Amino acid sequence: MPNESLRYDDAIVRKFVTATIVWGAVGMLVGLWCALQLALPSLNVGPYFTFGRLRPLHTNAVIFAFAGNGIFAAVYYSSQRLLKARPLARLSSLHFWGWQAIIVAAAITLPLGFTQGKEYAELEWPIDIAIAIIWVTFGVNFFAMVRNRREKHLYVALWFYIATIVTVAILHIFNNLVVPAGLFKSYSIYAGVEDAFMQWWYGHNAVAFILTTPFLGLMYYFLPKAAERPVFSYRLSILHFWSLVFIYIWAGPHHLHYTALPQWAATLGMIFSVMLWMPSWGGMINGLLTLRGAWNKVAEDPVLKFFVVAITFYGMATFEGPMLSIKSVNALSHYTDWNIAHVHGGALGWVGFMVFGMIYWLVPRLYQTTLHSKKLATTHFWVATIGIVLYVVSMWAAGITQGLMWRAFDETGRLQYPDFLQTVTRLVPMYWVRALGGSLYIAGLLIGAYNIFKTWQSRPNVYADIEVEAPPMVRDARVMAREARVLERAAHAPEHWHRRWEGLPALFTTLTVLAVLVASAFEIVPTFLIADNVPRIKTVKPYTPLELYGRDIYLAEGCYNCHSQMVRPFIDETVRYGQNGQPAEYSKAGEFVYDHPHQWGSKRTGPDLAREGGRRDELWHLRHFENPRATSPGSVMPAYPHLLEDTIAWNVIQDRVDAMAMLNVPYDARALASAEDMAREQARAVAARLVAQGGPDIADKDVIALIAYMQRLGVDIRLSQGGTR
Amino acid sequence: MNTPGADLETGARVLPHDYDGIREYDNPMPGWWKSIFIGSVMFAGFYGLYFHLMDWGHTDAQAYRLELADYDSKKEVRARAEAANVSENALASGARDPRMLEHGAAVFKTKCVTCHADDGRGLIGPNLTDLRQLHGATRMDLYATITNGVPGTAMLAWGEQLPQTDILAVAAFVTTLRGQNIAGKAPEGVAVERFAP
Repeated sequence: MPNESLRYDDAIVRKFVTATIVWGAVGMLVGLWCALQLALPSLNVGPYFTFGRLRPLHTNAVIFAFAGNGIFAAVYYSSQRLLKARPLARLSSLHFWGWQAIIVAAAITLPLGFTQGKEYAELEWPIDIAIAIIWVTFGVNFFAMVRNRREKHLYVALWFYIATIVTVAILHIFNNLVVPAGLFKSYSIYAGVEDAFMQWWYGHNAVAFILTTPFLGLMYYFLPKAAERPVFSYRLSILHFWSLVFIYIWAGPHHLHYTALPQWAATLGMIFSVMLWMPSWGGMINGLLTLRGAWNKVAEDPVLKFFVVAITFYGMATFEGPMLSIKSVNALSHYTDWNIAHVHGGALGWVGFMVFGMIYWLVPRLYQTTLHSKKLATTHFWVATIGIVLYVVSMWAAGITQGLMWRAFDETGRLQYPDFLQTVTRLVPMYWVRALGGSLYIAGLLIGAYNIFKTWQSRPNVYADIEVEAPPMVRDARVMAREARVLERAAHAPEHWHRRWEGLPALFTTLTVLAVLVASAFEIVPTFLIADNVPRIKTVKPYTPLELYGRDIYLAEGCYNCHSQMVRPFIDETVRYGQNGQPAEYSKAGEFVYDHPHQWGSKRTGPDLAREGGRRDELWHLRHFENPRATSPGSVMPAYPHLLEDTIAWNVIQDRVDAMAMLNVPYDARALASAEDMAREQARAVAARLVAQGGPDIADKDVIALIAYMQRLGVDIRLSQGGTR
Repeated sequence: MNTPGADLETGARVLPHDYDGIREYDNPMPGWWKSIFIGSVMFAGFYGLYFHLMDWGHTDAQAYRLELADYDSKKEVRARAEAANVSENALASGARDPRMLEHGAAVFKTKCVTCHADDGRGLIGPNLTDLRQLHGATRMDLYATITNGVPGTAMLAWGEQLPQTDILAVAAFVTTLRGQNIAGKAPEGVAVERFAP
């Protein structure tokens, strides 16, 4: 059969590479801004650029814009070559421009405070729909290449791409199911325990299927290419791929240890995380051992330097992850900066360095010239490496310091650091070191961007077409079997059983989806069955219309980025968050049945708020929101003076109550008919208390609703024990 | 890429397939890798068995109840010891001890001024310098308010936060503020008299 010729489409790869660098710089600069805000709260520029609004912008930009575009560049470059097929130009273009439009939409809406209030899933429903459409476009384009391929078998890199494409679609859709209450406002269909479970099923698997599997695929293509060495072990690839895909899905609940999630679910999250250690390390071994015989090249080649450090960080982070998932370790590490160290080891070390290694390898090929300066690339490598080390070490130190301070009791049984602020101000020097580390990393990136720009300038006037010839794929089963026998005889060994699957992409994809869905179902179904029957607490009632509006402000300001609402069953927490010298109740599942979405949080830069209601008077809250340093000297919380000026949007309150009612939140007839009147009434009552305490009379301002919400937190469960409102 | 031969270290063959020039060795999975993987699966099974199927370990709730009991017993011991140190007279004599007052003023400056202002004229919390008091009237009432806090207000239970020496000192210091009548937050509570020096 005559060979067919095909031209690779490298223009789309060039576009994604440019977007990766640009969004990488933007996302990381916003990250640096956030880091500096924690050391210097005056860098919060309200209302749009406070930590609570910028931090989601940072995480979304780095994950979906930097890593996302990097993945697309890798997939479009390597898949064409591995499959000997060209993507569909129109879909590629729609994919590229659609994705960039989504990023711009995120960059606009997040500072405006449009958010679903769920970590890494903040974007509101219209943008979520766009993401689903563009992701499916990407998937169709990829599978069109698979269908038109001229290479019978799928190489391991493609297995990881397939797992990524199908799983991200599933995660994104199921975690973002909401009831809209306006164009940029919605409520998660899940509440409390269920919502937390879905969120971390999604959140952890975003780490798995956006920050891990595509980058393993990337590694399997670009590392052996750059090292010019065969991959260490095909058999290891098979086992670590399937075990990784199957086991990763279960691990999410390790984000919810000691919360109101049923204990067995947390246990599943932990033991599957421990079992995930070796499947993850399979990738590391296959990466590092592929370099056997090429270590002399690592000394000279910046591309391989980036890859080696990336894979080393991957190994470190995938050891640290299982360790942090062990409950007793998690009891110390959770809600602290240790998690921040962990994710940045992964994001800066593994993801970032894989991307840069790939880009330095790609750029001379894409721009059909030589790299402007190898020396600058090596400088980028060293500056960024030092940056990561400073970042990670300072955050380890901060996390362990704070975790230990929280739980310290003196010999008479008093908390040694009862004032939460003491445990924050102690960290500020480490926040400066972190900011320095981050700055170095960004400096490296900017050096890289300059180097690549200079390389681009020396490109030819017209790019030569990369044209290859490949035999058309034989689709005749008998011919295939004969070929396989010939190959087997030539190799004097039988074919691996898995090789059959590699020639059948539909089967392969189906098995991947099954692995993901079966593992998910084992956790989701029982969780939902049990969560539907969580012990109800009679006194737990829906939020009043004003409190609901106040809660929406809490979401919009991104308070959950720094405050948890989950008192764990530890004596130091129940004492710290207790009232009048009595330890608090630790949080119970029944308290959250109307929390669409949950606001349990994952980080305590500020104290937990689950028991905040009734702890202080309204005037304290007012002064604190206006300027946190007035009531709490040394606080790093942003000031929210705009909440004292902005008027409550009374006309949206009824819509929001109605949307909650659609989710079976049992509002009474009055709330369904005249939520706005109820809200105004309660606002006047709150304002009257403020006046009695010597505060201003401002019954129609946002801050009143937020104070009403603060004063409600944790009150219902106290009523069940004979307390008063 | 040149066609590589067998793996020089392990002797494993290179597999016949070739993907865009990438080849793969047929190396076995490292033994230590398989061992740890199997070990982690066994650990997982054992952990589930121990804590859930057999209920041999404490649940989170049981572990918490033990912590709480320990906390309560320590607190009781502390409360008994502290009750012996405080009385109307002890506070009165503290208010005449310059070292004690200096200590109390220092505590006041770090812990109390955000709500009661630097001179006690009141901000969020009440004015401490007028002849009105919200909670009781005696020195011991002041001590109790500081120790136990006031539910529903920003007045914390400082007994949970500070050693008793600090609380005794700051209570003694606050008794000296009453009657200074510094203009500040409007008077609240019932009328009281100056403490006798």
